[in-house]
Amino acid sequence: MWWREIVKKMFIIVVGEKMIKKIMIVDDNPDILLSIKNGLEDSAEYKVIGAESGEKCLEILEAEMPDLILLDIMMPEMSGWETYDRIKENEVWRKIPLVFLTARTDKIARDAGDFLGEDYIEKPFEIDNIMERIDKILGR
Amino acid sequence: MNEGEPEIVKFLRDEERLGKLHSKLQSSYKELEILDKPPENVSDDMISVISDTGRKTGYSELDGLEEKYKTIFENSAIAITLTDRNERIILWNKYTENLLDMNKDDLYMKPVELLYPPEEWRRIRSENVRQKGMQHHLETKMVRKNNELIDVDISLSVLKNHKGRVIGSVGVVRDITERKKMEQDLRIKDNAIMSSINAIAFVNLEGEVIYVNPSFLNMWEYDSENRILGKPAVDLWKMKGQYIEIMDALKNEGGWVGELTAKRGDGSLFIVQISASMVKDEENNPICMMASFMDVTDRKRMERNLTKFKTITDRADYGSITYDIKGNIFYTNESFARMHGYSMEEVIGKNRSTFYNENQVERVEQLNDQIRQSGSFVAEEIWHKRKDGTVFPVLMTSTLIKDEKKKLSFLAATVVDITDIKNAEKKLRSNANKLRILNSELNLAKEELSVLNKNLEEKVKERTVEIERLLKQKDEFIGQLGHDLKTPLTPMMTLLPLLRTKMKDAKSMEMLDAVIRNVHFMKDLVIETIDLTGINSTNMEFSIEDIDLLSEVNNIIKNNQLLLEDNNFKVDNKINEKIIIEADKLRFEEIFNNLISNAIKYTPESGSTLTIDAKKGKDFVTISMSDTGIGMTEEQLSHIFDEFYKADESRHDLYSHGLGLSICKNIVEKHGGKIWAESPGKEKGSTFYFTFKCGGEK
Repeated sequence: MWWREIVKKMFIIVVGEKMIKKIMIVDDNPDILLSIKNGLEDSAEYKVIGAESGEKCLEILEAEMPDLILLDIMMPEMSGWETYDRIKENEVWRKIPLVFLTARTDKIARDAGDFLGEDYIEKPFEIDNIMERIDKILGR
Repeated sequence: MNEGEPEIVKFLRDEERLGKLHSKLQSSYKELEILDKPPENVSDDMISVISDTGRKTGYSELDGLEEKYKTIFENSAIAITLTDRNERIILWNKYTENLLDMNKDDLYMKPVELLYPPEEWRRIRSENVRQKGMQHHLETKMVRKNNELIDVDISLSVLKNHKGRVIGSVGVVRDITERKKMEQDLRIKDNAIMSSINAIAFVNLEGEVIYVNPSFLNMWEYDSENRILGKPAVDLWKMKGQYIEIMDALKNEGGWVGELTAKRGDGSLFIVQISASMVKDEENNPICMMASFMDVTDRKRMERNLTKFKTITDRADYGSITYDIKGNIFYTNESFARMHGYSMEEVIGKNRSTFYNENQVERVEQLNDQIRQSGSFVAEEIWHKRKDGTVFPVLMTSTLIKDEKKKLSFLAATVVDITDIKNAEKKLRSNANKLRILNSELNLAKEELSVLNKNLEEKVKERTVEIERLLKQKDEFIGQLGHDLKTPLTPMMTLLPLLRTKMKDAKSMEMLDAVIRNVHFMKDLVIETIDLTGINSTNMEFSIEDIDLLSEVNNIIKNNQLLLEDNNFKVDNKINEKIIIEADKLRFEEIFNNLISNAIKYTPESGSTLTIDAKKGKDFVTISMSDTGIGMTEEQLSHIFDEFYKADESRHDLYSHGLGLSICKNIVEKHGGKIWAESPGKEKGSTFYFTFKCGGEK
């Protein structure tokens, strides 16, 4: 819709670049990356940084600090758990709020989430769910 | 006694008349004196007597009188004897000779003493009749010529002359032998009646009891005869009519013999045998009735018992015979005769040996000896012979029957045909052998079977493990498939709505909407399939905790608020007490989510109300949820919890996958509860019930 674009531009002008939240999404599935990027950036409130692996995630973190990381658990080579550990090892990165993305809904996944003290979002999700959770965590 | 006496005795007994006889005798005394003594001594007396009487009556009169008395004297049926003062017999009449069987030689001038047995004479003398000078009456005995004693009744009178001197005596003797005998007879009879063990009673013609003997009192249980004497005899009997009948028989026929039921004073009854007769005088006029009684109650009872026993024996299906000591049979029952192929008539009179089997005569004789010695022998198997010569086994017992005097009376034997028993025994023995063989075969088979069983058990165990493994594999596969499907669903679900917002063409938008709907349906299907496999798998674990039911339900309602409002549903939560249940919170919520979505799906009209309630039982809480939807038939009620069941297949409802209730059932059952649904019928709404264990402090 044409007016949405205008509203977005106006929002940026009003609230400034700083108010736009940087969200990092780590997932080996490029379609997921694409869908979340499109879904979130459709609203002018988010800027999405996509990483197609754990390694890529750490690489980007060296250069850029996101406001929140969405981390897929099931990934080849470096898994979500491993990436999580590496992020937590870093004094600065560990302060970034983290939400797991998982297709697993069984007790183990739940326990892991509880144990790690982090939130998680089940796949498949709608973009509204993600936004709701992100806003909640970022205290909007 | 007096009635039968001749007229003369009455006459003589008359005091006055006897006095006259005295005078007559005294007048004869002169003659007697002449015979005995010097006449001069006598003449005064005689003259004086004659002149004395002559002065009063006149001689001719006296002469006629003397003749009359003389006739009476001679013909009298009593003996009259005169003795002189020396107690010698000087005069006697004809009857005296008859009585004593003596003639003139035996009597004349013989001492009167000789007519009596010495001891009787002494008694008479001791009476001192002469000195007392009075008339004396006594009973004594006299001796006949053949020394036979006869009972007599004597009246002795002393004869005195006018000077009062004793000149002799006169004895009037009556034979009372008959009377004595009768008296004795009567005494015997009286005693007999008194001491009779039979009860005896006399009843007068008016029907009153006039005499009873002690036995009678005993039998009727009266303590004194006063209680019965003078009472009407009819009261002694049970039936008045019978009594009257007997009285009639007595009057008409003079006697009656039979049995009657008697009644005691206390009303108790007993049976008596009666022999009654009419007592009559010589002229055949009835005087009274006499009856003797015998209590036959016991005998009756015995007779009845005997009849009973005889009937039993007659009809018994064992043989029974009685026979004398020589073995001659005088009683047989039908069974014995039939058993041996004879008729009953044929058996009677036959000897027992007829039925012996020749080969066993010796043994039978031994048994017979045993009977004679010990009275009986215990049942023994022997062989008997039939009329046609064939033999058969019997079981026999025999007993010696003795009479009251312990004298051998007869023998009784009981015979039971044991052919069938013997055959059965034989069969049983052969069967037992067969059974033994079969048993050993069976044991072998059993062993084989137990080996097979063991193998089977192992196989079943193997197969079970295999099946469990396959089932787990299936669950894992479905789970994996579900998870694998989730990832490709994610971009669809996120990008399609975004695409929708960028869409400007109405037709494209309609098509995209269809895609979005189906993506969502696919998502639900995937999620619930995974859910179901997760609950089905045996190692599924719940995190059970105590949950406050009311706040949890309120929470669930709040979580579903948007959905409910969208469909214009209201919820009436009727839970009004604090109830704690044991449940996995997330799973518990899943049940409600499923039920709520079902209720919405199956309630066509908007503005309905869902009613939730809970009832606390002893161990379980029953939670219910009612809707006002389309309801269910009996058929549907029985299947709704099956996997992939849809209430209405024909509706081909794309948005219902039929797993919701199946998941609910799994969750409830994993918690140890039950789930069920009720519906009054189509279009009448449904109520779902499920139970959870009470938690907290129960």
